[in-house]
Amino acid sequence: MNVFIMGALTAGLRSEEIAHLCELDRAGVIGFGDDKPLGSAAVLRAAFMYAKPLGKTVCVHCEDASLVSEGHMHEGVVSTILGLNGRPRSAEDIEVARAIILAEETGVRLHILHLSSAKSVEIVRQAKAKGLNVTAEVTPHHLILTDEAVMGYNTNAKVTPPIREISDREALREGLADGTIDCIATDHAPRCLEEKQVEFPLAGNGMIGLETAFSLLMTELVKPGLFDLKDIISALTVKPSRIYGLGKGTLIPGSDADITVIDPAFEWVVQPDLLESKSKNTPFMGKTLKGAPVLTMVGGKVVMKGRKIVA
Amino acid sequence: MPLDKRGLLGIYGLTRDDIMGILDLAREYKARVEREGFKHCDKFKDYTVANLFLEPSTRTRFSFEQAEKALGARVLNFQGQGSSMAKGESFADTCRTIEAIGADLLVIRSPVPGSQEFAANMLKIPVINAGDGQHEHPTQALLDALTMMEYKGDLRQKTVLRVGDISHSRSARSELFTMKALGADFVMCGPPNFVLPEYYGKLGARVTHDLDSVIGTADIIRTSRIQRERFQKMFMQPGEFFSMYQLNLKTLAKCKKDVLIMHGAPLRRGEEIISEVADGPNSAIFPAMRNGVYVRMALIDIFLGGGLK
Repeated sequence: MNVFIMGALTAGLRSEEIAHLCELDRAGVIGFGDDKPLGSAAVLRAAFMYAKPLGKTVCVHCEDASLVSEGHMHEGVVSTILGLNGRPRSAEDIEVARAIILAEETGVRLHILHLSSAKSVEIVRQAKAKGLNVTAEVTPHHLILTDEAVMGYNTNAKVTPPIREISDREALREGLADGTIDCIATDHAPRCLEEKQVEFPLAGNGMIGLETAFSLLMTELVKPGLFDLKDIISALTVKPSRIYGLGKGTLIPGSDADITVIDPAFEWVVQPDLLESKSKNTPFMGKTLKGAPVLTMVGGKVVMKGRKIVA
Repeated sequence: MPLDKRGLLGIYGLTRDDIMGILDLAREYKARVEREGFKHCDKFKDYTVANLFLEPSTRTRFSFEQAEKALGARVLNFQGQGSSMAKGESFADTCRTIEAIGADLLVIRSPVPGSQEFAANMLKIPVINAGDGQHEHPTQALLDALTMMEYKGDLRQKTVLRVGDISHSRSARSELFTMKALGADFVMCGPPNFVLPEYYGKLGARVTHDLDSVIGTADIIRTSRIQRERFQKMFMQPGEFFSMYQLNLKTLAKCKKDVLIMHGAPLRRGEEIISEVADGPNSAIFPAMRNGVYVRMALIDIFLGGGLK
């Protein structure tokens, strides 16, 4: 498997001082980002200014810390029914706008991680229309689920940013279709049983996604005719490669033989023993999916065959 | 969630028939106790009920214990201090322990929303929710409904007004679901940042922030204590809150003459309500507490008696 290293944007992910960006750059990180809510605009602006001449992509997890500090899920009717404090859409929207404004001012290459709200998609769309060098991603779960997935206090549906409503999901799909959203990323976040088999507010955030991503997208978006398979493949391969300048995700002669073979007819039911991940924290357990990778080659070597890791 | 063998986890999802069934049985127990007093009864003498209270409680805890003993059950009372939870034992393992040592029914009060559903999904014994964070307090809503119907009859023609802190109130949430199931016109009134109209409106409540606009039409007014730390969290000064939403003689003067005044207690006299109103002729605050025992007797009977699928 290809594993690339992302450098921290701020020291200790604390949003207080800029991390050692130059040293991280020389050590070979592909970009910078904390993947958690950021602090003051002053820190963010300074970090962007500092990162700009390094030419690498800066990624931001967009949630205003003061608006999500006590929240456990999307703020809406479902959170009201469950009596859980919410993480409102505005938390993301404000932060997306702030990051874009600071990226425009500093000229840094900005990538917005896992969009979840309709308005955030619109803000990115406007920025791109202005010609700003900003990119964005979305996860399979934000494209497929809604906050109803949390009903019954399902801790495997507890993620940040939270899964929101149908109107958001539709906007994310539109954004992916019109190119506002460049790529699909899993935000794969393994959690052990001790972190998920607890009361909902105490549970850790995140779900695993690597092994279900393609099958979910195929089943929910391609088979019903919402997306072309080639666009989904592009959003999973060549586009993320371009965002980080990896030179991968292509089959032109001379490139690395990183190849995934898809069987569009392969049907499987998500079950713990069919997952190679040690962690099983997925809300898609028990779901029947159609279409799956059946062979993976990395650098010319077969590493997965018949849904089992072989090297 | 429907009323099933997992217990009473909340009101959300219950039907009018579910609720009326519980209240009918509560009325039977009330009639018996009024006739005979809390006479010794050994109906459930071979059963054990455990009370796991992880938050301070006077009424709910005593009321459950009174109900359990009135039905002859053996009672285990959990003490937070001196327990293994103080040593870092998880809530889950505490619940499993209580089941393992032989409890047949578990009553839980917890500051964490969803604790009871989490426990009920894990255990084989039924669980009754005695309040979970800001989620629900179903037995409170049921005792309120029983009291409202005693004074006002069928609630389908009635306007029930809930005043004060809505968003942090588990009893307000349970009451909303109860009142909608029973067909009442349910109005929620509090500061805009404490009652988000978009969400509560979709759940069937009428929402207003202007007490004067609705107070004259209410048949029943229900208020509650507001915790001091809520003001800070909502960036609001208490003085403004109480001047707008306190039940006092001025607000009472605008009400229907026979309005019923209710409060879940504990009372913070002089804050959300003044003594002249709390102790006045319209108040059903203390009779409601007695009804709480009958509602809980009914629930214990339902879940220990095996009357459910």
